[in-house]
Amino acid sequence: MTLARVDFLPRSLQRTIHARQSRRRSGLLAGLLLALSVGASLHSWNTMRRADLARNQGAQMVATVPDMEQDLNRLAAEQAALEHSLQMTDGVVPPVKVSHVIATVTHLLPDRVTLHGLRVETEDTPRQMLVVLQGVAASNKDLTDLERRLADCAAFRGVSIAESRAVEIQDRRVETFTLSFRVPLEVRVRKPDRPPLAMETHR
Amino acid sequence: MHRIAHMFRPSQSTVALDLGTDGLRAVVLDGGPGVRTAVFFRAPAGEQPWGDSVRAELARWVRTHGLQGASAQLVLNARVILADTAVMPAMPDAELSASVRFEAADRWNLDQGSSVIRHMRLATGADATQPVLILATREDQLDAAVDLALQAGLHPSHVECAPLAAARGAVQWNRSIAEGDVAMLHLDPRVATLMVLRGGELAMFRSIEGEWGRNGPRTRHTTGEGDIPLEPDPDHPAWRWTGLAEEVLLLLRNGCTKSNWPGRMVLTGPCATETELLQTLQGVCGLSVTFAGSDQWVPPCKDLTDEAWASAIGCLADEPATAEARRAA
Repeated sequence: MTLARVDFLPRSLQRTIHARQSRRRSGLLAGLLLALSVGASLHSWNTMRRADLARNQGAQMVATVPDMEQDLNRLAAEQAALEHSLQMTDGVVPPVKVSHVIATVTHLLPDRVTLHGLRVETEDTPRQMLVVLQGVAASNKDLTDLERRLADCAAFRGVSIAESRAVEIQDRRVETFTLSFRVPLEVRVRKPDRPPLAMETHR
Repeated sequence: MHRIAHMFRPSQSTVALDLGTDGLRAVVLDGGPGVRTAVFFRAPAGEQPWGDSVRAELARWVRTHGLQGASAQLVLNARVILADTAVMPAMPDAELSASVRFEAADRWNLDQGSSVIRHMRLATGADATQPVLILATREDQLDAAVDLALQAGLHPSHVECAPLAAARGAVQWNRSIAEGDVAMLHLDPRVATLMVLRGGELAMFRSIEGEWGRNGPRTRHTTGEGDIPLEPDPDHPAWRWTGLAEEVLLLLRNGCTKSNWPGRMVLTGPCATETELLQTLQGVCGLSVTFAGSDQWVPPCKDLTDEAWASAIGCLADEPATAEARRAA
Protein backbone atom coordinates (compact mmCIF):
# COMPACT_ATOMS: atom_id res chain seq x y z
CA MET A 1 0.00 0.00 0.00
CA THR A 2 1.33 3.40 -0.94
CA LEU A 3 -0.04 6.88 -1.06
CA ALA A 4 -0.26 8.67 -4.37
CA ARG A 5 2.07 11.59 -4.83
CA VAL A 6 0.50 15.03 -5.13
CA ASP A 7 2.87 16.79 -7.47
CA PHE A 8 2.70 20.57 -7.47
CA LEU A 9 5.15 21.04 -10.30
CA PRO A 10 3.12 22.62 -13.12
CA ARG A 11 3.65 21.60 -16.71
CA SER A 12 5.03 25.00 -17.65
CA LEU A 13 7.76 24.67 -15.03
CA GLN A 14 8.40 21.08 -16.05
CA ARG A 15 8.94 22.28 -19.59
CA THR A 16 11.26 25.00 -18.34
CA ILE A 17 13.26 22.48 -16.33
CA HIS A 18 13.43 20.05 -19.23
CA ALA A 19 14.58 22.89 -21.46
CA ARG A 20 17.24 23.79 -18.93
CA GLN A 21 18.34 20.16 -18.74
CA SER A 22 18.52 20.06 -22.52
CA ARG A 23 20.48 23.30 -22.52
CA ARG A 24 22.89 21.88 -19.97
CA ARG A 25 23.34 18.72 -21.99
CA SER A 26 23.76 20.75 -25.15
CA GLY A 27 26.18 23.05 -23.37
CA LEU A 28 28.21 20.11 -22.13
CA LEU A 29 28.18 18.58 -25.59
CA ALA A 30 29.13 21.87 -27.17
CA GLY A 31 31.88 22.31 -24.60
CA LEU A 32 33.12 18.82 -25.33
CA LEU A 33 33.07 19.46 -29.05
CA LEU A 34 34.79 22.80 -28.53
CA ALA A 35 37.45 21.16 -26.40
CA LEU A 36 37.90 18.47 -29.04
CA SER A 37 38.09 21.07 -31.80
CA VAL A 38 40.58 23.15 -29.89
CA GLY A 39 42.60 20.05 -29.11
CA ALA A 40 42.56 18.90 -32.74
CA SER A 41 43.47 22.41 -33.91
CA LEU A 42 46.33 22.62 -31.47
CA HIS A 43 47.52 19.20 -32.53
CA SER A 44 47.34 20.18 -36.21
CA TRP A 45 49.08 23.47 -35.54
CA ASN A 46 51.83 21.70 -33.63
CA THR A 47 52.24 19.11 -36.37
CA MET A 48 52.39 21.85 -38.97
CA ARG A 49 54.93 23.78 -36.92
CA ARG A 50 57.13 20.72 -36.58
CA ALA A 51 56.80 20.01 -40.30
CA ASP A 52 57.82 23.60 -41.03
CA LEU A 53 60.82 23.26 -38.77
CA ALA A 54 61.85 20.04 -40.47
CA ARG A 55 61.34 21.64 -43.87
CA ASN A 56 63.43 24.66 -42.90
CA GLN A 57 66.18 22.41 -41.60
CA GLY A 58 66.09 20.48 -44.87
CA ALA A 59 66.24 23.68 -46.87
CA GLN A 60 69.18 24.89 -44.80
CA MET A 61 70.96 21.61 -45.39
CA VAL A 62 70.29 21.84 -49.10
CA ALA A 63 71.54 25.41 -49.09
CA THR A 64 74.78 24.42 -47.38
CA VAL A 65 75.55 21.46 -49.69
CA PRO A 66 77.77 23.54 -52.19
CA ASP A 67 79.87 24.70 -49.29
CA MET A 68 80.35 21.12 -48.27
CA GLU A 69 81.38 20.22 -51.79
CA GLN A 70 83.83 23.07 -51.74
CA ASP A 71 85.15 21.88 -48.43
CA LEU A 72 85.48 18.37 -49.78
CA ASN A 73 87.30 19.63 -52.84
CA ARG A 74 89.54 21.78 -50.70
CA LEU A 75 90.28 18.86 -48.40
CA ALA A 76 90.99 16.60 -51.38
CA ALA A 77 93.35 19.22 -52.77
CA GLU A 78 95.06 19.56 -49.41
CA GLN A 79 95.32 15.81 -49.17
CA ALA A 80 96.84 15.64 -52.66
CA ALA A 81 99.27 18.43 -51.76
CA LEU A 82 100.21 16.68 -48.57
CA GLU A 83 100.74 13.41 -50.40
CA HIS A 84 102.85 15.22 -52.97
CA SER A 85 104.82 16.89 -50.21
CA LEU A 86 105.27 13.57 -48.48
CA GLN A 87 106.51 12.07 -51.71
CA MET A 88 108.81 14.99 -52.21
CA THR A 89 110.10 14.72 -48.66
CA ASP A 90 110.54 11.02 -49.11
CA GLY A 91 112.46 11.68 -52.29
CA VAL A 92 114.91 14.16 -50.81
CA VAL A 93 118.29 12.58 -50.53
CA PRO A 94 120.29 14.09 -47.73
CA PRO A 95 124.06 14.75 -48.18
CA VAL A 96 126.21 11.65 -47.90
CA LYS A 97 128.46 11.34 -44.86
CA VAL A 98 132.02 10.06 -44.94
CA SER A 99 131.11 7.08 -42.78
CA HIS A 100 128.46 6.15 -45.37
CA VAL A 101 131.08 6.34 -48.09
CA ILE A 102 133.57 4.17 -46.16
CA ALA A 103 130.87 1.67 -45.26
CA THR A 104 129.73 1.49 -48.87
CA VAL A 105 133.22 1.10 -50.20
CA THR A 106 133.98 -1.61 -47.63
CA HIS A 107 130.77 -3.35 -48.57
CA LEU A 108 131.54 -3.21 -52.29
CA LEU A 109 135.15 -4.31 -51.87
CA PRO A 110 135.87 -7.61 -53.74
CA ASP A 111 137.47 -10.43 -51.77
CA ARG A 112 140.91 -10.19 -53.34
CA VAL A 113 141.25 -6.43 -53.02
CA THR A 114 142.49 -4.65 -49.94
CA LEU A 115 142.85 -0.98 -49.16
CA HIS A 116 145.70 0.68 -47.38
CA GLY A 117 144.83 4.28 -47.99
CA LEU A 118 141.79 6.54 -48.16
CA ARG A 119 141.79 10.26 -48.59
CA VAL A 120 138.70 12.38 -48.54
CA GLU A 121 138.67 15.95 -49.71
CA THR A 122 135.71 18.27 -49.84
CA GLU A 123 135.18 20.86 -52.55
CA ASP A 124 132.70 23.69 -52.33
CA THR A 125 132.13 24.41 -56.01
CA PRO A 126 130.53 22.23 -56.86
CA ARG A 127 129.88 20.95 -53.41
CA GLN A 128 131.25 17.46 -53.55
CA MET A 129 133.47 14.98 -51.81
CA LEU A 130 136.60 13.73 -53.58
CA VAL A 131 137.56 10.27 -52.44
CA VAL A 132 140.92 8.68 -53.32
CA LEU A 133 141.43 5.01 -52.53
CA GLN A 134 144.82 3.29 -52.43
CA GLY A 135 145.10 -0.41 -52.17
CA VAL A 136 146.28 -3.71 -53.55
CA ALA A 137 144.36 -6.01 -55.85
CA ALA A 138 145.24 -9.61 -56.48
CA SER A 139 144.84 -9.11 -60.17
CA ASN A 140 143.83 -6.56 -62.69
CA LYS A 141 140.53 -8.27 -62.99
CA ASP A 142 139.81 -7.72 -59.31
CA LEU A 143 140.71 -4.07 -59.70
CA THR A 144 138.40 -3.75 -62.65
CA ASP A 145 135.70 -5.48 -60.62
CA LEU A 146 136.08 -2.91 -57.83
CA GLU A 147 135.91 -0.07 -60.31
CA ARG A 148 132.75 -1.50 -61.84
CA ARG A 149 131.09 -1.98 -58.47
CA LEU A 150 131.83 1.57 -57.40
CA ALA A 151 130.65 2.92 -60.70
CA ASP A 152 127.37 1.07 -60.29
CA CYS A 153 126.68 2.91 -57.06
CA ALA A 154 124.41 5.87 -57.75
CA ALA A 155 126.03 8.07 -55.17
CA PHE A 156 129.43 7.87 -56.69
CA ARG A 157 130.34 9.74 -59.78
CA GLY A 158 133.46 9.75 -61.89
CA VAL A 159 134.91 6.50 -60.71
CA SER A 160 138.31 6.08 -62.34
CA ILE A 161 141.54 4.29 -61.75
CA ALA A 162 144.16 6.98 -61.44
CA GLU A 163 147.16 4.70 -61.23
CA SER A 164 147.80 0.94 -61.52
CA ARG A 165 151.12 -0.71 -61.13
CA ALA A 166 152.21 -4.35 -60.99
CA VAL A 167 154.46 -5.11 -58.03
CA GLU A 168 155.71 -8.23 -56.29
CA ILE A 169 154.93 -8.67 -52.68
CA GLN A 170 156.16 -11.82 -50.97
CA ASP A 171 156.85 -13.38 -54.36
CA ARG A 172 153.41 -12.78 -55.64
CA ARG A 173 152.51 -10.48 -58.46
CA VAL A 174 149.80 -7.99 -57.38
CA GLU A 175 148.42 -4.72 -58.61
CA THR A 176 148.77 -1.58 -56.51
CA PHE A 177 146.29 1.03 -57.48
CA THR A 178 144.98 4.47 -56.82
CA LEU A 179 141.25 4.93 -57.52
CA SER A 180 139.29 8.08 -57.24
CA PHE A 181 135.64 9.10 -57.44
CA ARG A 182 133.45 11.97 -56.49
CA VAL A 183 130.39 12.11 -54.24
CA PRO A 184 128.05 15.02 -54.84
CA LEU A 185 127.01 16.63 -51.59
CA GLU A 186 124.06 18.71 -52.90
CA VAL A 187 120.57 17.75 -51.74
CA ARG A 188 119.02 15.78 -54.49
CA VAL A 189 115.48 14.87 -55.14
CA ARG A 190 114.98 11.26 -55.73
CA LYS A 191 112.32 10.02 -58.07
CA PRO A 192 109.38 8.58 -56.16
CA ASP A 193 109.72 5.12 -57.67
CA ARG A 194 113.32 4.85 -56.56
CA PRO A 195 114.35 3.31 -53.22
CA PRO A 196 115.19 5.90 -50.57
CA LEU A 197 118.72 4.65 -49.85
CA ALA A 198 121.42 7.05 -50.76
CA MET A 199 123.95 4.32 -51.42
CA GLU A 200 121.90 2.17 -53.74
CA THR A 201 123.59 0.67 -56.67
CA HIS A 202 122.62 0.90 -60.32
CA ARG A 203 120.88 -2.13 -61.65
CA MET B 1 39.42 18.77 -12.33
CA HIS B 2 37.12 17.22 -9.76
CA ARG B 3 34.27 19.35 -11.05
CA ILE B 4 35.00 18.59 -14.68
CA ALA B 5 34.97 14.88 -13.91
CA HIS B 6 31.58 15.30 -12.28
CA MET B 7 30.28 17.29 -15.23
CA PHE B 8 30.84 14.47 -17.68
CA ARG B 9 29.65 11.71 -15.37
CA PRO B 10 25.92 11.01 -15.61
CA SER B 11 24.53 11.68 -12.16
CA GLN B 12 22.64 8.73 -10.73
CA SER B 13 21.91 10.53 -7.51
CA THR B 14 18.54 11.80 -6.43
CA VAL B 15 18.42 14.73 -4.08
CA ALA B 16 15.47 15.39 -1.81
CA LEU B 17 15.18 18.99 -0.64
CA ASP B 18 12.88 19.62 2.30
CA LEU B 19 12.13 23.32 2.35
CA GLY B 20 10.99 23.63 5.95
CA THR B 21 10.09 26.68 7.96
CA ASP B 22 13.42 26.64 9.82
CA GLY B 23 15.76 25.95 6.95
CA LEU B 24 16.50 23.44 4.26
CA ARG B 25 17.22 19.75 4.59
CA ALA B 26 18.89 17.86 1.79
CA VAL B 27 19.14 14.11 1.46
CA VAL B 28 21.04 12.33 -1.29
CA LEU B 29 20.13 8.89 -2.51
CA ASP B 30 22.90 7.30 -4.52
CA GLY B 31 21.01 5.20 -7.01
CA GLY B 32 20.41 2.42 -4.47
CA PRO B 33 18.16 2.43 -1.44
CA GLY B 34 20.71 3.89 0.98
CA VAL B 35 21.16 7.53 1.87
CA ARG B 36 24.60 8.77 0.93
CA THR B 37 24.49 11.92 2.95
CA ALA B 38 22.07 14.28 4.64
CA VAL B 39 22.64 17.90 5.55
CA PHE B 40 20.63 20.66 7.21
CA PHE B 41 21.10 24.29 6.25
CA ARG B 42 19.61 26.26 9.09
CA ALA B 43 18.21 29.63 8.09
CA PRO B 44 19.91 32.47 9.99
CA ALA B 45 17.77 34.39 12.45
CA GLY B 46 15.75 37.11 10.78
CA GLU B 47 16.20 35.69 7.30
CA GLN B 48 13.70 33.90 5.14
CA PRO B 49 13.90 30.09 5.42
CA TRP B 50 15.17 29.86 1.85
CA GLY B 51 17.12 33.09 1.89
CA ASP B 52 20.33 34.01 0.16
CA SER B 53 22.65 32.38 2.67
CA VAL B 54 20.79 29.06 2.45
CA ARG B 55 20.83 29.28 -1.35
CA ALA B 56 24.54 29.95 -1.39
CA GLU B 57 25.27 27.13 1.03
CA LEU B 58 23.13 24.73 -0.97
CA ALA B 59 24.85 25.67 -4.23
CA ARG B 60 28.26 25.19 -2.63
CA TRP B 61 27.20 21.85 -1.17
CA VAL B 62 25.88 20.66 -4.54
CA ARG B 63 29.15 21.60 -6.20
CA THR B 64 31.21 19.95 -3.48
CA HIS B 65 29.32 16.67 -3.76
CA GLY B 66 29.30 16.68 -7.55
CA LEU B 67 25.52 16.71 -7.73
CA GLN B 68 25.12 19.24 -10.52
CA GLY B 69 22.50 18.04 -12.95
CA ALA B 70 21.06 15.56 -10.47
CA SER B 71 17.33 15.10 -10.22
CA ALA B 72 15.77 16.82 -7.23
CA GLN B 73 12.51 16.25 -5.43
CA LEU B 74 11.27 19.25 -3.54
CA VAL B 75 9.17 19.17 -0.40
CA LEU B 76 7.30 22.31 0.59
CA ASN B 77 6.30 22.84 4.19
CA ALA B 78 2.59 22.92 4.89
CA ARG B 79 2.74 26.62 5.74
CA VAL B 80 2.98 27.64 2.09
CA ILE B 81 0.24 25.26 1.05
CA LEU B 82 -3.42 25.89 1.58
CA ALA B 83 -5.28 22.72 2.41
CA ASP B 84 -8.94 22.01 3.04
CA THR B 85 -11.32 19.14 2.67
CA ALA B 86 -14.35 19.32 0.45
CA VAL B 87 -17.06 16.74 0.08
CA MET B 88 -17.81 16.28 -3.57
CA PRO B 89 -20.27 14.05 -5.32
CA ALA B 90 -18.84 11.02 -7.07
CA MET B 91 -17.52 12.06 -10.50
CA PRO B 92 -14.77 11.15 -12.96
CA ASP B 93 -11.26 12.42 -12.39
CA ALA B 94 -11.24 15.07 -15.12
CA GLU B 95 -14.53 16.49 -13.92
CA LEU B 96 -13.39 16.34 -10.32
CA SER B 97 -10.23 18.24 -11.20
CA ALA B 98 -12.17 21.06 -12.79
CA SER B 99 -14.61 21.18 -9.90
CA VAL B 100 -11.79 21.31 -7.41
CA ARG B 101 -10.26 24.29 -9.18
CA PHE B 102 -13.48 26.22 -8.94
CA GLU B 103 -13.96 25.15 -5.36
CA ALA B 104 -10.45 26.25 -4.40
CA ALA B 105 -10.76 29.57 -6.18
CA ASP B 106 -14.05 30.15 -4.45
CA ARG B 107 -12.90 29.13 -0.97
CA TRP B 108 -9.62 31.01 -0.86
CA ASN B 109 -10.32 33.69 -3.41
CA LEU B 110 -7.43 32.46 -5.53
CA ASP B 111 -6.42 33.64 -8.96
CA GLN B 112 -6.36 30.42 -10.93
CA GLY B 113 -3.73 31.82 -13.26
CA SER B 114 -1.20 32.40 -10.50
CA SER B 115 -1.96 29.41 -8.31
CA VAL B 116 -1.30 25.74 -8.51
CA ILE B 117 -4.25 23.71 -7.34
CA ARG B 118 -4.12 19.99 -6.72
CA HIS B 119 -6.42 17.51 -5.11
CA MET B 120 -6.36 14.07 -3.59
CA ARG B 121 -9.21 11.70 -3.04
CA LEU B 122 -9.55 10.81 0.63
CA ALA B 123 -10.67 7.47 1.97
CA THR B 124 -14.42 7.28 1.53
CA GLY B 125 -16.75 7.03 4.45
CA ALA B 126 -19.88 4.97 4.73
CA ASP B 127 -21.95 7.23 2.47
CA ALA B 128 -21.47 7.60 -1.27
CA THR B 129 -19.95 11.06 -1.10
CA GLN B 130 -16.31 11.61 -2.01
CA PRO B 131 -14.23 13.64 0.41
CA VAL B 132 -11.44 15.39 -1.46
CA LEU B 133 -8.38 17.10 -0.06
CA ILE B 134 -7.82 20.35 -1.93
CA LEU B 135 -4.31 21.69 -1.92
CA ALA B 136 -3.20 25.01 -3.38
CA THR B 137 -0.14 27.15 -3.40
CA ARG B 138 0.87 30.37 -5.02
CA GLU B 139 2.89 30.02 -8.16
CA ASP B 140 5.48 32.52 -6.94
CA GLN B 141 6.15 30.32 -3.89
CA LEU B 142 6.60 27.39 -6.21
CA ASP B 143 8.81 29.39 -8.55
CA ALA B 144 10.99 30.41 -5.61
CA ALA B 145 11.43 26.79 -4.54
CA VAL B 146 12.15 25.59 -8.07
CA ASP B 147 14.48 28.51 -8.69
CA LEU B 148 16.42 27.66 -5.54
CA ALA B 149 17.05 24.15 -6.85
CA LEU B 150 17.85 25.33 -10.36
CA GLN B 151 20.30 27.93 -9.10
CA ALA B 152 22.05 25.22 -7.14
CA GLY B 153 22.40 23.17 -10.32
CA LEU B 154 19.71 20.63 -9.54
CA HIS B 155 16.79 19.71 -11.80
CA PRO B 156 13.51 19.45 -9.90
CA SER B 157 11.33 16.58 -10.97
CA HIS B 158 8.58 16.73 -8.34
CA VAL B 159 7.28 19.16 -5.77
CA GLU B 160 5.08 17.91 -2.97
CA CYS B 161 3.80 18.77 0.44
CA ALA B 162 5.98 17.83 3.43
CA PRO B 163 3.36 16.06 5.59
CA LEU B 164 2.12 14.07 2.62
CA ALA B 165 5.67 13.10 1.73
CA ALA B 166 6.25 11.92 5.29
CA ALA B 167 2.98 9.97 5.15
CA ARG B 168 4.01 8.35 1.86
CA GLY B 169 7.28 7.25 3.41
CA ALA B 170 5.56 5.95 6.52
CA VAL B 171 3.04 3.95 4.50
CA GLN B 172 5.71 2.46 2.26
CA TRP B 173 8.32 1.59 4.84
CA ASN B 174 6.37 1.09 8.08
CA ARG B 175 3.92 -1.76 7.57
CA SER B 176 2.16 -1.17 10.90
CA ILE B 177 1.18 2.34 9.77
CA ALA B 178 -0.28 1.01 6.54
CA GLU B 179 -2.73 -1.15 8.47
CA GLY B 180 -5.73 0.08 10.47
CA ASP B 181 -6.53 3.66 11.48
CA VAL B 182 -3.45 5.60 12.43
CA ALA B 183 -3.14 9.27 13.24
CA MET B 184 0.03 10.93 12.10
CA LEU B 185 1.29 14.28 13.32
CA HIS B 186 3.96 15.99 11.28
CA LEU B 187 5.51 18.71 13.38
CA ASP B 188 7.33 21.50 11.62
CA PRO B 189 8.64 24.46 13.67
CA ARG B 190 5.85 26.72 12.48
CA VAL B 191 3.14 24.37 11.32
CA ALA B 192 1.83 21.07 12.60
CA THR B 193 -0.16 18.80 10.33
CA LEU B 194 -2.50 16.13 11.56
CA MET B 195 -3.31 13.30 9.17
CA VAL B 196 -5.37 10.20 9.64
CA LEU B 197 -4.43 7.17 7.59
CA ARG B 198 -7.04 4.53 7.11
CA GLY B 199 -5.62 1.30 5.76
CA GLY B 200 -2.80 3.23 4.19
CA GLU B 201 -5.11 5.78 2.58
CA LEU B 202 -5.34 9.36 3.64
CA ALA B 203 -8.60 10.10 5.41
CA MET B 204 -7.95 13.44 7.06
CA PHE B 205 -5.53 16.32 6.65
CA ARG B 206 -5.46 19.38 8.87
CA SER B 207 -2.73 21.97 9.44
CA ILE B 208 -2.28 23.93 12.65
CA GLU B 209 -0.04 26.96 12.52
CA GLY B 210 1.92 27.89 15.62
CA GLU B 211 5.38 28.49 16.97
CA TRP B 212 5.97 24.85 17.71
CA GLY B 213 9.68 25.14 17.28
CA ARG B 214 9.88 27.52 20.21
CA ASN B 215 8.57 24.78 22.46
CA GLY B 216 11.79 22.88 21.97
CA PRO B 217 14.36 22.74 24.76
CA ARG B 218 16.83 24.97 22.95
CA THR B 219 14.39 27.77 22.26
CA ARG B 220 12.32 28.14 25.37
CA HIS B 221 10.59 31.42 25.84
CA THR B 222 12.24 33.90 28.08
CA THR B 223 9.63 36.01 29.73
CA GLY B 224 10.02 39.55 30.87
CA GLU B 225 8.93 40.93 34.17
CA GLY B 226 5.19 40.84 34.50
CA ASP B 227 4.67 38.48 31.57
CA ILE B 228 2.53 35.48 32.07
CA PRO B 229 4.93 32.49 32.06
CA LEU B 230 4.42 30.14 29.17
CA GLU B 231 5.36 27.22 31.35
CA PRO B 232 3.04 27.27 34.31
CA ASP B 233 4.78 24.38 35.92
CA PRO B 234 8.50 24.29 35.12
CA ASP B 235 8.84 20.93 36.83
CA HIS B 236 6.56 19.37 34.26
CA PRO B 237 7.80 20.37 30.81
CA ALA B 238 4.98 18.45 29.18
CA TRP B 239 2.85 21.54 29.79
CA ARG B 240 4.54 23.15 26.83
CA TRP B 241 2.74 20.83 24.41
CA THR B 242 -0.75 20.92 25.89
CA GLY B 243 -1.99 23.56 23.46
CA LEU B 244 -0.99 21.45 20.51
CA ALA B 245 -2.37 18.28 22.09
CA GLU B 246 -5.74 19.88 22.76
CA GLU B 247 -5.90 21.22 19.22
CA VAL B 248 -5.11 17.76 17.87
CA LEU B 249 -7.82 16.26 20.03
CA LEU B 250 -10.34 18.78 18.73
CA LEU B 251 -9.44 18.00 15.14
CA LEU B 252 -9.69 14.27 15.75
CA ARG B 253 -13.08 14.69 17.32
CA ASN B 254 -14.16 16.77 14.39
CA GLY B 255 -12.89 14.39 11.73
CA CYS B 256 -13.30 10.96 13.23
CA THR B 257 -16.15 9.03 14.73
CA LYS B 258 -16.08 6.37 17.35
CA SER B 259 -16.03 3.69 14.65
CA ASN B 260 -12.94 5.04 12.90
CA TRP B 261 -11.13 6.58 15.83
CA PRO B 262 -7.42 5.98 15.30
CA GLY B 263 -5.85 3.33 17.45
CA ARG B 264 -2.51 5.06 17.76
CA MET B 265 -0.53 8.07 16.69
CA VAL B 266 2.91 8.42 15.14
CA LEU B 267 5.01 11.57 15.07
CA THR B 268 7.30 12.86 12.37
CA GLY B 269 8.94 16.19 11.62
CA PRO B 270 11.83 18.30 12.88
CA CYS B 271 10.12 19.16 16.19
CA ALA B 272 9.12 15.61 17.06
CA THR B 273 12.04 14.98 19.33
CA GLU B 274 10.87 15.16 22.93
CA THR B 275 9.38 12.43 25.03
CA GLU B 276 7.32 15.14 26.78
CA LEU B 277 5.47 15.64 23.51
CA LEU B 278 4.66 11.93 23.39
CA GLN B 279 3.44 11.99 26.99
CA THR B 280 1.29 15.06 26.46
CA LEU B 281 -0.36 13.76 23.33
CA GLN B 282 -0.87 10.38 24.94
CA GLY B 283 -2.43 11.96 28.01
CA VAL B 284 -4.68 14.39 26.18
CA CYS B 285 -5.77 12.31 23.20
CA GLY B 286 -5.77 8.94 24.92
CA LEU B 287 -3.78 7.33 22.14
CA SER B 288 -0.63 5.29 22.07
CA VAL B 289 1.88 7.77 20.65
CA THR B 290 5.26 6.81 19.20
CA PHE B 291 7.84 8.30 16.87
CA ALA B 292 7.54 7.02 13.33
CA GLY B 293 11.17 5.91 13.22
CA SER B 294 11.82 7.55 9.88
CA ASP B 295 15.57 7.25 10.38
CA GLN B 296 15.06 3.49 9.99
CA TRP B 297 13.06 3.70 6.75
CA VAL B 298 16.24 3.46 4.74
CA PRO B 299 19.51 1.70 5.58
CA PRO B 300 21.15 3.47 8.52
CA CYS B 301 23.06 6.62 7.83
CA LYS B 302 24.96 8.56 10.49
CA ASP B 303 23.43 11.83 9.33
CA LEU B 304 19.86 10.67 9.93
CA THR B 305 19.27 10.93 13.64
CA ASP B 306 15.64 11.65 14.36
CA GLU B 307 12.29 12.40 12.69
CA ALA B 308 13.50 15.61 11.06
CA TRP B 309 14.24 13.83 7.80
CA ALA B 310 10.87 12.07 7.43
CA SER B 311 9.61 14.33 4.65
CA ALA B 312 12.88 14.32 2.74
CA ILE B 313 13.11 10.54 2.87
CA GLY B 314 9.38 10.09 2.34
CA CYS B 315 9.37 12.02 -0.91
CA LEU B 316 11.77 9.44 -2.29
CA ALA B 317 9.18 6.70 -1.73
CA ASP B 318 7.96 5.02 -4.88
CA GLU B 319 4.87 6.01 -6.73
CA PRO B 320 2.06 3.46 -6.16
CA ALA B 321 2.53 1.91 -9.61
CA THR B 322 6.30 1.61 -9.13
CA ALA B 323 5.89 0.21 -5.65
CA GLU B 324 3.36 -2.39 -6.84
CA ALA B 325 5.64 -3.39 -9.72
CA ARG B 326 8.58 -3.69 -7.36
CA ARG B 327 6.55 -5.77 -4.92
CA ALA B 328 5.36 -8.03 -7.75
CA ALA B 329 8.93 -8.47 -8.92
